[in-house]
Amino acid sequence: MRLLAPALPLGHDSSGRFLPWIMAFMVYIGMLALASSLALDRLAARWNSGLQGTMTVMLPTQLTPAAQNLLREKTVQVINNTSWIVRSQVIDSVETRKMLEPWLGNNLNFGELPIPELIAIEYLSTNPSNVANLRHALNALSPDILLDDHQGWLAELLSFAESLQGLAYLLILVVGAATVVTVIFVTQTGLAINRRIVDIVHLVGAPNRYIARQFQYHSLRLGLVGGFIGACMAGLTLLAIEYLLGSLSSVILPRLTLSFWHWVLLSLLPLSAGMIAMFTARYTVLRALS
Amino acid sequence: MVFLEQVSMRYGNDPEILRDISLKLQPGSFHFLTGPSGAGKSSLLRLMYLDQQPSNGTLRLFGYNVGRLPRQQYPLIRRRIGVVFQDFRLLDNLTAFENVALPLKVIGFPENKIRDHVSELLIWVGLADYLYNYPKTLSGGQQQRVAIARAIISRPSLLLADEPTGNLDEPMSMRLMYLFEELNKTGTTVIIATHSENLIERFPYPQLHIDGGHLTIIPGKK
Ligand SMILES: Nc1ncnc2c1ncn2[C@@H]1O[C@H](COP(=O)(O)OP(=O)(O)OP(=O)(O)O)[C@@H](O)[C@H]1O
Ligand SMILES: [Mg+2]
Repeated sequence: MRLLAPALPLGHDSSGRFLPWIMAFMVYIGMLALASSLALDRLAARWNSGLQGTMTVMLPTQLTPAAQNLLREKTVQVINNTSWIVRSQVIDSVETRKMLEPWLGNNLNFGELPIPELIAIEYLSTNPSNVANLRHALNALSPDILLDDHQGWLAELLSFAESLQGLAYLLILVVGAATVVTVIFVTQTGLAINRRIVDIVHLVGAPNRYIARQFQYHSLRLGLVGGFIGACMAGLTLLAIEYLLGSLSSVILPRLTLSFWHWVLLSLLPLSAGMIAMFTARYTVLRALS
Repeated sequence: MVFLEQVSMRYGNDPEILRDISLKLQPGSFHFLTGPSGAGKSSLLRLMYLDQQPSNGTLRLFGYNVGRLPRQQYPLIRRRIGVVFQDFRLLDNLTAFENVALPLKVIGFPENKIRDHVSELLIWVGLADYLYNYPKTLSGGQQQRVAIARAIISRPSLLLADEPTGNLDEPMSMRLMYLFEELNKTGTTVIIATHSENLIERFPYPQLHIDGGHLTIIPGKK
């Protein structure tokens, strides 16, 4: 048995055709902005509480391998004697070479380049005076040893990300406003095109609510389709970013992965895009008819 | 049921088409609405189904003073009125079946019940083979029968039919008049605008006669 067709032939005119794409764009931008802000929150929380921190010790290249070994051993000893460090790992030139390969290519003759040795340090919690003491102890071995606690560039990264985030939110606002305006325009066009039908439906006893409902479900459908497209694109983009960052960040950055609940929160965005479209259409019709 | 007191009506700033019309129709009555072409029959009906407002006077329907009724309440009154429009006003994007189902659908009648009612009525008006035809593919008379079916599907308290048999042959006209009479017997107040002397001859109900903007009542011969 066929279902009764809706009285208004919405969707048969072209005015609504570009609405899903605007929706898709809004949801895409919105999801990226939301994802980045969620990830940043997590990063900031970890960083501020000093949990699961990482630092890097950079050893200057010595003239002879023997001197190099000696400096490394002394450094490791200092690190091992530092109680708040839970783990350290020497990244020798072979590993460093591997890390640099994607950036510099494997044709370079690394032997000729002074590549410093790195020691990655992990700690659960610390405070600035601990870090200062460690730096002091290391500089006693050699004034050229660098202790990079990443604070500087993390702070820079964070402020850069924050301004990106602000930009993204501004964009969401603009695109959101454009969406609302578009829905209003599409709905008013639909009302005008279907004036005769709206009149007849009124005359057989339909309240404005009935007509509004037809428009709002049409709009909801367009909104959800757009939201779904946008969400898929954003999901792919996020996965790609996670993949790229994931291979890069394990040593230096705490991981930026989104949790299950973050993904849930993100998937609410296309739904709310549909809702915005729906309520805008409803409001537009009820206002136009009363 | 239908009560007009000194009602006048005009379109925009045109001269008045109806002047000082007073009228009181009892529930369950049956009237023809007659008068020369352009006299204002359709206009009077338009007042009654709330498509136009009187320029003067008081119109009461089902006890409501229509002039004082907020627009949001119109649907409540319109649902109790079935209208056969002179120009049918079917929805071209819906099948005959869906057109007839529309008044039930807008009041939220369950779809499975709609199905039986609508099919039954369409079969009764001789459109068994045209349930899923679109109005554009139906003849004038067939469209008219769809329009009639849509007007009576919800068993209205007041039926306003504007030339409902204008496009129908003699036997079909009779059949539909009997249908209106049946409806009338179950309590529906009926007003039928017509030019057909023949119809008035056969069904001698009283006439509301409009001429020169004035309304006179010609008693029925029964
Ligand atoms: N929408 C309108 N705007 C302006 N004038 C109108 C409108 N509709 C009808 N009229 C005028 O009102 C007058 C009455 O028209 P109406 O349709 O009520 O006549 P009628 O009695 O139904 O005629 P007929 O028997 O031909 O159907 C006519 O002179 C017509 O020109
Ligand atoms: Mg007429």
